[in-house]
Amino acid sequence: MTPGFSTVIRLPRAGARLTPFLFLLFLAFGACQREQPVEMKGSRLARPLAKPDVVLTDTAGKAFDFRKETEGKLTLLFFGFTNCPDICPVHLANVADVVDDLSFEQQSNTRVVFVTVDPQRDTPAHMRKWLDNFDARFIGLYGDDETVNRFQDELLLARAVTIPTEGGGYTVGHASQMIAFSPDGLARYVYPFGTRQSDWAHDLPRLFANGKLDAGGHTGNGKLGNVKVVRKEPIRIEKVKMPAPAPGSPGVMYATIINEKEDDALLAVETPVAGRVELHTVEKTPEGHSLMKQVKNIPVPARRLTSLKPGGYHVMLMERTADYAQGQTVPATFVFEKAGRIAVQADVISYGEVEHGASDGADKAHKH
Amino acid sequence: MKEIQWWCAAQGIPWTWSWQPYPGVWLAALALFTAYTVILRRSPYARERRNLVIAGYIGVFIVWLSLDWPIGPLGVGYLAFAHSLKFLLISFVATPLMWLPFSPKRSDPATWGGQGATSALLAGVFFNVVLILSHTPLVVDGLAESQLWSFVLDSLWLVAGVLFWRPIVGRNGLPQSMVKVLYIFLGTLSHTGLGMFFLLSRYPHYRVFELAPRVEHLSARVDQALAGALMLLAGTPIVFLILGIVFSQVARAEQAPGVTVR
Repeated sequence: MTPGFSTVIRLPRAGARLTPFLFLLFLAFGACQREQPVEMKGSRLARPLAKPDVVLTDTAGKAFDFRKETEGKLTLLFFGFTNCPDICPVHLANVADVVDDLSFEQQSNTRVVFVTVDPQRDTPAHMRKWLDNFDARFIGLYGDDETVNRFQDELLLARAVTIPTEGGGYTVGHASQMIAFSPDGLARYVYPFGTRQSDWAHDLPRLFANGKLDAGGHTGNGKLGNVKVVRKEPIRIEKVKMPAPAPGSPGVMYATIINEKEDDALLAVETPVAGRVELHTVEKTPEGHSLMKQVKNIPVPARRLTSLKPGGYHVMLMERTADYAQGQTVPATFVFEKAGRIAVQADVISYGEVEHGASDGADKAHKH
Repeated sequence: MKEIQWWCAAQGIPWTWSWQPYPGVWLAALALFTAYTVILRRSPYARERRNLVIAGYIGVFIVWLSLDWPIGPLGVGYLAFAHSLKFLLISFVATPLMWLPFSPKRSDPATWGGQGATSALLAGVFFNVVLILSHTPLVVDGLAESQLWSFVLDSLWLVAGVLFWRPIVGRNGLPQSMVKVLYIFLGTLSHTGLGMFFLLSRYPHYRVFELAPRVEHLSARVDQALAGALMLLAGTPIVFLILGIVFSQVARAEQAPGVTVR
């Protein structure tokens, strides 16, 4: 066979072999960009939150009545600090980009409110200059510790904590989620760090509509008592408990998961109070000893109660970033393979209470 | 405290302009330098072309420059712009420069050949597959945190670039100038498309760059647009510049008495 003949024969064959492959690659690339058919991208709160009645001071030095000044507006609220090296600037920059894409009317009815948790360093002038990097319309607020703490408490957020750093400085540990209040004054979704611009672009117009009927099926007339559930939630999470840990030791979280729909799996749990969260189970060795073992996920069978409990599946909070004490609540997001992300508030309890109620024993069939 | 890495990978920590060592990059650059020198010594033509040999070593230096601090870590964990810059430097600047000292003459043993048009087609396809695959969000986001995979991707860019530019210079490369123009035009189509895609996209495509700590207040959207502009506005002139240089080299070789250029 001559080289020329070989070339003639091989060209179309090579091309024919590779064309479908390239076509699939282009399709795969396109598929990566396509929106997933999910109703909302934010983490759904177990129950809607009303706007707290709080008065702080804005960067112009004027009193800012949070409830009154944001009435009827889509309000995105975030607690942070201007020296934050990563989460705060990224979160705000992404929101700023997407708010810019909204219609003029929607922009006029949107308020992005930043509350500093580091008033010592965040002077009004410094905060204003920093916020202007993102959008001059962003509102910067500050207040005394007591008021800001109450603000966070009422929104079920972990209180910001000051963490000393090497060299005598400090950083601030704070909740990383942005809370979205719809024009009706209720927050049904929060947006943890990691929310992407495409997620915001998907949700913001829908959050405007929450005053009538949101994707979760709630009518938002501003009265919690009149919330109407239209769509049955596939998974509910109850009795989320965290024993107050000893200093320096990892934390643990227990809960009861009620799955009404199809077999699912808990893939991860996120919380701002831990740098790393692991899913664990306890196994018995042949000698009868209990051995804690990390698992990739926790099965959540359909129509059953799955208990995360001492001696069974549970959530371990490693590398704690903030302290929490009995009586407080800590935000967390449970990430399921099929049901997606569900935001909850965990009650901090004593270890004594764990033994008597954090879990309800063995997994049970769930009766309707 | 920043962990020492052997190869640049995304760490998710705030960017600082303080220098970081990447020993794996140094070793790879040294290996490339050594291999390149050995290959150059096999080419009798390279000895006569000192300026082009210098250009070739500049190509090796550019590979090192694009993999090491700061372009390397910026390109894998912080800025889509730096990611594009790294790709352009390796695949569109360094690799064609590295081919310059070699001659399209059949007697140059360094410019090993394949099967003419077939191998050129495969090289072009391979280059584009690597280009597209290495720019999919799945790959960029999924592998950015792994030093090993970052090394593999960077190596693929280098290999794909070397193979892509070989038919232009290689002794059994493409025979006619117009075919070469067509080859380069078709071969760089996806690079142009990708640049357009980045430039015109509304939202950032890569999670790793969108959620990375900001560098100099550059927003993720502006960063991606800059990456697209770089691919589109810098990449295309570079391609034509390389074409001009290579063609003048081919013309010189054709003018030499008793030389047949294929």
